[in-house]
Amino acid sequence: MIDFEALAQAMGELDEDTVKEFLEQVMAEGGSDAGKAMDACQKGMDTVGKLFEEGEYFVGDLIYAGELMTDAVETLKDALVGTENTGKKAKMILCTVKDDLHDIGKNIVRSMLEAGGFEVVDLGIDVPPQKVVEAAKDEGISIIALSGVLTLALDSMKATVRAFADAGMRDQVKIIIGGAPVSEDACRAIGADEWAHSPQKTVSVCRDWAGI
Amino acid sequence: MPVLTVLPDGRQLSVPVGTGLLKRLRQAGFYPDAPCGGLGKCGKCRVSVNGAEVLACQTAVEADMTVLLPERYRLYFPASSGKPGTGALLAFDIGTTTVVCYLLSDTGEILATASALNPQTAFGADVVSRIRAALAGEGSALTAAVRRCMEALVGSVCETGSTDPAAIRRVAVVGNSCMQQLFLGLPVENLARPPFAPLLRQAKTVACGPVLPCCPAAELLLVPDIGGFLGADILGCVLAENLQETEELTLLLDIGTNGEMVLGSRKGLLACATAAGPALEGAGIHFGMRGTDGAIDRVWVENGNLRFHILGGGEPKGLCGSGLIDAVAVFLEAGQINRRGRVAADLHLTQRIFLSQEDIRQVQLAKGAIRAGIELLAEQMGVKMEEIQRVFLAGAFGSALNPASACRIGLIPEELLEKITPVGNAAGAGAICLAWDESALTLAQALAEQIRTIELSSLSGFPRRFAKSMEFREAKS
Ligand code: B12
Ligand code: FES
Repeated sequence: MIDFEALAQAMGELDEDTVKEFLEQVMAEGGSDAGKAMDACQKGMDTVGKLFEEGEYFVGDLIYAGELMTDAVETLKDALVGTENTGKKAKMILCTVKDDLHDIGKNIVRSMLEAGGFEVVDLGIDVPPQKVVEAAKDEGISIIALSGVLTLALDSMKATVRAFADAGMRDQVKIIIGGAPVSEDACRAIGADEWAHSPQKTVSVCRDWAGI
Repeated sequence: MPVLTVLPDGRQLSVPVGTGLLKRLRQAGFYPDAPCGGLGKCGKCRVSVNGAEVLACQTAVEADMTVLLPERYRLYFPASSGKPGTGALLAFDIGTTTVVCYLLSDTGEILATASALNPQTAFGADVVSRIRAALAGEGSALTAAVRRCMEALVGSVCETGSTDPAAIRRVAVVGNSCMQQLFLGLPVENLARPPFAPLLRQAKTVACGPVLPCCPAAELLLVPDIGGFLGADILGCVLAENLQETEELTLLLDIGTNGEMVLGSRKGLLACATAAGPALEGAGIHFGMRGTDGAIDRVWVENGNLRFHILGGGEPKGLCGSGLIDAVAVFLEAGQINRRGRVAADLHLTQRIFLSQEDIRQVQLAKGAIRAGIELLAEQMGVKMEEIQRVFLAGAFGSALNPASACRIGLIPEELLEKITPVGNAAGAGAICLAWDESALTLAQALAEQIRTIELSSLSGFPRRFAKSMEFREAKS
């Protein structure tokens, strides 16, 4: 029997070896507990987010956490397919805006959102406004998260929000922006609905919007 | 039209209603510091208007207005030193922060040197804010600002070196890609978006007169850029240090906002840029400041007591980059910063001056980016850290910082400490080579083509390395 509390704790402490051992044990036992193990990992991610919020952890820790989470999903993947009810997850779009190739912040936010129950359609980096609009249209997605760390990214964010307006879809989507240069003022100037620096806030805002 | 009175000079400027105050001041040749480029975020463009403190970048002129500029906001004053002789050549290093000018004799002897703050700092502290300003229509104002500064520097060195500027034969200029393009009045769109390809790929000689009218008879040497964020300045450093001919595996580091580095020997050179940000130079740090009077530039412990040195003596006003790195090293050794960069409370140097948790975080991001760049450069070249035989620290900042502290905070791998040599303004030295050695320009062209570059954002290993590089080594207890 696996101690899921201990797994969650190891994840929260970013104890890579212990997390790996637990997950391998789950798979060795046939993988029937994969769902529970995933829940424990997500709980651990929650702890990571909280510790970051409190100032105990920093960006480096979030990067480890994100990678650890990706590895966990990779290990449990085969066993998860059968057990999970993929239909019930809320879908959202995330990307780094046009002319910006920085993706560390975006990837951190993605792991946190995934741990928070979202299916994230990650459009990648340097994504032109039109592509975001089309993806939203094609997949019927109404939550859009835009990331960027260049000062110039603020201009691209504005262009993306405008592209939704031009497509007549502005009132059908909720847009949250994030990344170092984003601020309350920038959010207003860009015309986004919300902004955040902390992944925790990002997750809670999006969950609010999705009603989960 | 409203009238703007600028004190203490007392100049009066007419201003169309609604014009931004910062913009109008810049047009008139006043260049207040505006590190965030007018986003209203840094709060450093404060001036006094009709007796009240405001941010110049957030204020529009609606009616008659009197603005009082602090002393340091007035026209830049080039500082010059030198000896008599007849000058014939000029060499420039246009830095994002500082512009340096050398007057040389025909044989390449330095007769006079002058430097000034780059007045483009009124458009923002880093190149991206300059690019953004240029894209917003301020391109020609940026060009005018740097040229004005360069003309003032020419005047200054020529006076010191008793030389008629009209007699100057050759002018060599190096700078990063953005500085070069703005100086030449070229558009900078190419630097605003991937793949950040440089415009200046060909070494060239053109007439100087149209660009710098004070030197009508001179030819102007244009040095090619290696990449969009690997400019002619780093090429100048390579040239000055002769990296392409050295037997020893050498790492050349220019630690600045844009952190450029070159690794190699005569067997080949590999370069990359790692965008560290300006934190290590004291920007974005609560008590951070430039290395001017009142800055704490060195910190150490003596008999268990914290000691520091203040530039120009007097009361300490803040910390410049070298002081900041020393301070972090000292607090690490005292066990007051943990591996993750967490501090229990503000770290005081004096009753008033301290480092906050947020300051340490900024240092971590900056040093993490540079350290990760160094490691990935070595990895891509297939060499181990200990195989590197020499480390050259270029630039004013590289010369000011204490290598032991830089290694202690993990900015530079600790195993390289004994191999570090500061080499001063190597970019300027490169410009000097170019000005007097006719063959140097051809060599520069060859180097621009030979130096291989790596794009860190394309390496999947970057985030992990960056994460690791942000950590500190805790004090042994
Ligand atoms: C790491 C880094 C890089 C890496 C990028 C690797 C990668 N895969 O992303 C490398 C070295 C490749 C790089 C390259 C460049 N960089 Co760079 N880089 C940085 C650095 C050091 C840290 C950025 C970072 O990752 N921070 C950590 C993350 C986690 O923070 P974050 O993105 O803000 O995310 C947090 C929050 O904002 C939030 N969040 C993030 N996204 C979102 C999204 C939503 C919706 C929400 C709600 C929240 C949210 O969650 C995160 C966790 O809290 C900064 C300097 C610094 N000291 O900050 C410069 C910096 C961002 N880079 C800069 C520049 C200019 C560049 C270059 C364009 C030029 C160059 N010198 O090489 C290139 C090219 C990049 C490109 N091609 O676009 C500049 C930007 C300047 C400006 N004013 O715009 C900076 C500020 C450095 C500087 N001052 O010169 N860079
Ligand atoms: S607040 Fe005005 S330039 Fe930063």
